[in-house]
Parts: sequence; structure tokens; C-alpha cells
Amino acid sequence: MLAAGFFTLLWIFTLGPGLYLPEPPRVNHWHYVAFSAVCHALPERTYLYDGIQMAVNSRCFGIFSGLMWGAWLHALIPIFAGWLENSRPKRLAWMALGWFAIQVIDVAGNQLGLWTNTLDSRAFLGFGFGLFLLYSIQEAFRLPT
Amino acid sequence: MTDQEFAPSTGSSFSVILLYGLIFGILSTVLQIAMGYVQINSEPSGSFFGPTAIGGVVVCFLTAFAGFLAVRAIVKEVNPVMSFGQGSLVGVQIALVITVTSVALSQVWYLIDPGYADGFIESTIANMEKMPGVPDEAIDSTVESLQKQFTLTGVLQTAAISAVVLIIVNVLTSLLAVKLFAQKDEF
Repeated sequence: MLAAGFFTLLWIFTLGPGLYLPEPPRVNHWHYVAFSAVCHALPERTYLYDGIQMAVNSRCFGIFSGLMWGAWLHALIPIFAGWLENSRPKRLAWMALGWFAIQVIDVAGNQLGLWTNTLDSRAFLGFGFGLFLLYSIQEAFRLPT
Repeated sequence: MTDQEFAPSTGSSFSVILLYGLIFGILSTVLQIAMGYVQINSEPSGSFFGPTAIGGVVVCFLTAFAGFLAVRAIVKEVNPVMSFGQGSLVGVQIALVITVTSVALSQVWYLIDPGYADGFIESTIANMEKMPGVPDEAIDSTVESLQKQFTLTGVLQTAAISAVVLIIVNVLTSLLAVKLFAQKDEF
């Protein structure tokens, strides 16, 4: 539950300064700077929140949303993760890695002009990676008994 | 294999972290600076998706997965047993090494080529002027922000704030690597 709260807070930060500012801030606003090392957040590839650019691009927004939902799903339905892990250990972690490989293929295919991805398709692919990433490592957040 | 061979050898682990942190810190900084030069020397396109942005995509992947690769290397080369706590620590340490390397290297480069910052800012202005519907105030505001970002205070502020998220992301990817590659610590 604590992890779910933490990732919800992180997700709120990704929504950007549109949460509380009426006008677009400068490009070096702390919301943008905070995520700059892990996300390029190009305006063309980023959702708007209340008319203001979010702190991360659509793919990263999907990833952070997936992390949050992964944490909540595990907090609320722990039996499901337990069943998946017991039936085949590391399955979720390999699925997370698989989803990451899909991101790389998607970026490469788009760059090579093989297909054109959209804000929503990037967010969807990112969501899958975030969800399985968090779900696969959920035991790391268990409090010691 | 004896128990002694599985004993944690933190010294070696740290050298792996240092090596991977330096490699990824240098790679990401060099890539960013190189893409900056490509932008400076190319015609303004009027699009945000310029050379620096393409470099940014690669840098994202590099910096986010440094912890993953470092844990994999430690588990393979140093000690196959790793707990989630130790994995998290690797993620924190590697993010800090990348941040420090990146700050140091970029500062050294600004001294070697003092014209880099001005050239980058000018090319950004030229690019923004080609974009339809961008008001002058937005260009002025961007220039002011970029000028601040190229000062030592600006670089340190940016590094300190962005390090927090970099640590979180590297901890997550390190934990994934622990899950995939490490033997469980039963103690």
C-alpha cells in the first residue's frame, strides 16, 4: 500500500505544472527538470494537462501510469500476482523485459518510417512495460515480517 | 562452490558500479554534446524533433537501464547472490555516479569550447522562430531558461533535481535485474 501511495505521488508529478498553474511556465520549471534525465518530453510527443505540457512524454506517462496501477493491483489483489509467480517464477519479469523490447522496436520502426506511432499508442505500450515492471518486483516492497 | 566464494565482496561490486556509471555517464554526455553540435551546424527545421531530441531518446534508454546492466554484471562477475535491498543500493549508486560524471564532463566541455552554449542557444532561437505560432515572449523565456541552465548553478540545480527521478528509475531497473538474474539471499 505504501508503494502504491509512492507511485501515485510520482504519477501526479508527471502530470506537470498544469495541475496548479494557469499559464505555461518556463522550460526549466522543476517538473520538467526533474524528469529530464530519463525523458526527453518533446512537446510534439507529450500530452497536455489543462492546456499545459505534462512533465513527461506520452510513452513515459504510460510507464508511470503502469507503475502506479501495478502497485495498486498488487496491493488490492495480491493473490493474482502470487498465483502467477508460483505457477512460473520470473514470468512477470521476462514479460516486463519483453514489453521493453517492444518499446525499442516501436521507436526504431517509427524512426525508420515503417509505421507512425501516436501519443496513445506510445502511452499504451509504455503502460504495459510499467505494469509488468512493478508487478514483477512487487516482493521488493514487502515489509519484513 | 564454497560459502566463501559466495561471500559478498563489496569492493568489487563498487568497482563494477563505478565502471558502469562512468561508461553510461560519459556516453550520455558525449551523445548530448555531439547532438548539440549537429543542431548548431544544421539548418533550423522548425520542429522540436531535432538532432538533440533523437539523442535524448537514446540517452533516456541508456541512463534508465544502467542499473539493470550493472546488477547483471555484478551477479555474473562478482557475487551471484543479491537481495532486493542490495540491488536498490546499486541503482542509487549508479544514478549518482552518472549524475556526477555528467556534470563534471559537461562543465569541462564548456571550458574547452566556451562558444558551445551560445551556439546552442542561437540555434534554438533560429529553430523556434521557424515554428508557426510561437510568440516572441516564449522565445525570450526559453532563451533566458537556457542561459541559466548553462551556468554552474544551473547545471548543479538541474543535476540535483533530475538525480531524484534518475535514482528512482535506476532502482526499479536494478530490482528487475535482481529478480531475473540473482540468486535469492536466504539470510
